[in-house]
Amino acid sequence: GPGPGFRMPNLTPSQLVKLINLDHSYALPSAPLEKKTHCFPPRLLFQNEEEIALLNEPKSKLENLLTRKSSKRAQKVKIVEEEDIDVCTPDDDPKIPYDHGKARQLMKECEKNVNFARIHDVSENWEEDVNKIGWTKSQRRLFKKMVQIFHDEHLKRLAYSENASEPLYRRLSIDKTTQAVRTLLTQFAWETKLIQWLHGVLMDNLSLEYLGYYLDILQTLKSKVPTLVEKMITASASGGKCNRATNVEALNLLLKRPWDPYATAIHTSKLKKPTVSAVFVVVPPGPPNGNVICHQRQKSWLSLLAGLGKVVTVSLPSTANKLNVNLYAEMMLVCSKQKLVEVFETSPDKPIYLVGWGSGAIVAATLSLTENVTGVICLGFPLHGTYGTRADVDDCLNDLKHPTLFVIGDRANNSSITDMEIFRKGLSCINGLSVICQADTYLRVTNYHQKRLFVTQSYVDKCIIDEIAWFLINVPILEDELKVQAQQAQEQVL
Amino acid sequence: MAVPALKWKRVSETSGSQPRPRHGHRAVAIKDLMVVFGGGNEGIVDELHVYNTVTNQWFQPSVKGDIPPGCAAYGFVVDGTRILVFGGMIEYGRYSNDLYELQAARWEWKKLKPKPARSGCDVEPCPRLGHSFTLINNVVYLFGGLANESEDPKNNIPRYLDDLWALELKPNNSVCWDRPTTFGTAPSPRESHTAVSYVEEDGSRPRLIIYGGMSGCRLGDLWMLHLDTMEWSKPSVSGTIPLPRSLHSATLIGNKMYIFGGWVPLVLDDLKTTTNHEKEWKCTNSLACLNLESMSWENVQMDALDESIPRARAGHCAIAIHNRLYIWSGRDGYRKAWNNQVCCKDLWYLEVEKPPAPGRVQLVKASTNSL
Repeated sequence: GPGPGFRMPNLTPSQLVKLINLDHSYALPSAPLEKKTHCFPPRLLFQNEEEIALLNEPKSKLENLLTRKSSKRAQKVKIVEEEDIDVCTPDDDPKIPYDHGKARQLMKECEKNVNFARIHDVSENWEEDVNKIGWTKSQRRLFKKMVQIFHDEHLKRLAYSENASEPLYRRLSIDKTTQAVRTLLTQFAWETKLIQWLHGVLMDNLSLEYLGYYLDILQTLKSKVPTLVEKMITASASGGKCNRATNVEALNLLLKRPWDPYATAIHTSKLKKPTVSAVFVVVPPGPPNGNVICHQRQKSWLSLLAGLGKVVTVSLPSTANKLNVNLYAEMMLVCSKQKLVEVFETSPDKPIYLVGWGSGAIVAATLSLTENVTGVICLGFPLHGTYGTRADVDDCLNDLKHPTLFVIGDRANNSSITDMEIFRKGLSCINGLSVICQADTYLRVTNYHQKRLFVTQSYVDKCIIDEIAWFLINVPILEDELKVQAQQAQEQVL
Repeated sequence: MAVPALKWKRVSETSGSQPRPRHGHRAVAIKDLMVVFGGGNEGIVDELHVYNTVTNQWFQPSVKGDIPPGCAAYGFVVDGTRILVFGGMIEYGRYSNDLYELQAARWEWKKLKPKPARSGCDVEPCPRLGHSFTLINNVVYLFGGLANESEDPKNNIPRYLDDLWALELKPNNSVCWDRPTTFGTAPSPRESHTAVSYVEEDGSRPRLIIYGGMSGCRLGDLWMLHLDTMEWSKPSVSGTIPLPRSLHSATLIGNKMYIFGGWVPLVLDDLKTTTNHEKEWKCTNSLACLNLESMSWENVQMDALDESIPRARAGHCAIAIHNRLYIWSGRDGYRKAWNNQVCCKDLWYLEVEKPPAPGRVQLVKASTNSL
C-alpha cells in the first residue's frame, strides 16, 4: 500500500480505481462489460443482405461476369443460360404489404376518368391525324418529344402488364415518365402559351389510352410543381373537340391527390401505438418555398405523423425570408421556442417531441438543450456541414440530454453510419439510429431501388413514421431498464 | 516581476497525415522536429508521428527493428538522436517495464536489456505508468508512477510508487539500471507528475525538479533533487502558487518551467455553479511559470481573447523548440462518459520570448527553397 503519512482523501478503493481508470482511459477493457447502454442498436431498413454481400465481393462486377462462378449473381446468370426462359406465366407474387385488389382499383382511376375528359375515342393513327398546319418550329419539336415520352411509357406498361405487382411498377414508371416530362417542359422554360397550347392539343387528340397516361402524368406533376401545372391547364382557349370548361373542375378533382399502391396499406397498424398521445412540434427545414422536401410529400408525411399524435408546425413570419442564414437560423430557434411555450401551456400533461427535417433537425436538437421536452426526432440529420463534422469537442449537440432518434439515409452526403455511431456513443442521452438503406440526404430512395425493393416513396415515409412509433414505445422501457441497472450497481457498491 | 504578454497561436493547415487525437502520448524535440509516440483513446496507439515545425508538415516515418507495442503514460527521453521509451500502459490495466530505444537517424527500434550497475539491488524497476523519466548528463532519472499489484488486468489493485532509479547511458550505447542512495525527505508516492532537469548556465548544480501529480488527490508540491549531493529538498518558492494538478505538462525554456493544463480541483466558485457533487476535478487551460533562477512563480500575462487560447485539456504533450512551447492533442475533461472520451485534435504554440534577430546564415537559408 501507500507509504506512511500518505493521505487518501475520503476515497474507497473502488472509487480510487474508478478515478484511475478515468485518468488513464487509453484502452478499452478487452471484453466489453455486458450491460444495457443508452444507445439503441442501429436499425437498418430495406437492407437486402444478398445485395450487400455482392457489394462486398472483392471482385468487380465485370470480373464476376467473366468468371461466372464466384458470386450468387454469376451463378444465376449461368442457370438462366441453361434453362428456357418462361415469358408467359407471371413471376411469383412478391410479398408486398398492400391490398392488391385495392391497389389495382387505384391504379385504374385515371384510366376510368378519361371519360370525363373526352367521350369519343380517336383512331389508332391519331398521331398522324393531328392537324399540324401552322405550327411553329418549337411547337413541332415539343409535340414530337412529348409523343416519344408517351410511346416509352406505353412500352413500359406492356412490359409489366398483368404482372402481380403491376400497380407498383406502374406507379414507378409514371414517376419516371413524369420526370422526363418535367425535364422536357423545363427545356421550353414552361412558357405559358406553349404549354397551354400543348395541353389543348393533347387533350383534343390523344387516344383514350394515351389520355389516361397523360392524366397520370399530370396528376404526379401537379404534386411536384402545382402552380406550373395549374397555369398549364387553365382553360384559356375555347372550342376544340371537348368541352373544357366543364372538364376543368373534374380534372382538378382528379389531379388533387396522386394515387399510390400503398395508400390503403394501414402500415402503422402492425405496431402498437404509444399509449399516451403525444404532441409533435415540427420545425421547418428552411424557408417555406425552399424545395428541400417537396411540398406534397411533406404534407402527406405530416398527415401520417398525425396518426401518432397532435402535430403542431412552427411557421416563421414572411419577413424572415429576407434574413441571412445565421439570423434565419436564430429566428427559427426563437419561433420554435415560442411555439413550444404555447404547447406547454395548452397540453401540459402530454409528452412533447421536437421534430425536424435536415437543418430543422439541428434547430430541434439545439432547442432541446434548453427546453424540457420529452424527446427529439431528427430526420435526415446533417452530421457533416460546411464547417466540418458536428460532434467535434466544441459542439453543443454533444450535451443532448433528452431521448433522441436520428434517421438518416445511408447514401446521404451529409452523414454516414460510422460517424453517426461514433457521435451517438458519445451522447449521454438515450438515443436511437434508424438507417434507410439506399436513401439520400432527404430520405428518398431512388427509382431503381424502389423497383428492386418493391416499395414507393410513400411506403418509405410510412416506415419512418413506424420508426418514430417504435422509438416512442421503447424509450420508456429502456429508461426503466437503465434505472434498475443503476440501482443494482449502487447496491453492489454498498 | 511582470513578464511581457504572451500569445497562443493555433497551427492550422498542416499538411501530411495528421495523427489521431489521443491522450497519454509523449513527445520529444529533435532540432525542428516534434516526435510523437503512443498514447491512445479507445485503443493504445503504436504509431510514430513526426511534425516538422519549419515546413508545417506531419509525416510518419517507416520504422524497422524491434517495433514496440503501443504504450500510454510512459517515459520518453531524447539523447541527441537516440530516443528511449520506458514502461507505460500497454493494454487495459496492464503496465510494462520494457525499455526500447529508437535511433531517429535511421528510424530503427531496438529492445534494450539493461543490467544492474551493482549487484545486491533490485534488477530493474517494476512495471508502471505515469512515472517521470528525465535525462540529466547521461543519466535518465526515473521517479514514481503507478503499479498494478493484481495479476488480473481488469481487477486493478493500485499502488503509488516513490522509488528513484537511474538509467546510466554508457558511451558504448549500453545502459544499466542503478538505484541511487538519496538523503533527506523524498517526495510522497505519486504518478502523472512532471519532472524537468535544470543546470546553471555554467553547467554546475544539476537538479531534478518534480512538480505535482496524483496520489488519490491532485498534488501541487514542488521537490528538488540536487544531483551533486543526491539530497532531496523542498524549496521555498515565492509568488502565487498554482492549483495542484496532475496529467499536466512541464517544459523548460531558458530558466523557466512552463506548466500547462492538467486536472485541477474544482475551486469554490465552480462548486457553487455545479450541482453535480461527483465532479471534484476539472481540466484547465491555465499556464503557470516557475522561474528556477529566482525560485518564484511568475505571473503570466496572457494577451488573448478566449477563443485564441487552447481549450482546457490533460494528458497532452508539450515540447520546446527554440523559444516556442508546442502542445498537441490531449483530452478535454469530464463531459463524456469515461470510455468514450473525446480528444482535442489541435496543435498550438506559445512564443515565450522574442526570437533572437536572425543571423546571417539563417537569412541565407531562408532565401533558398530547400532548408
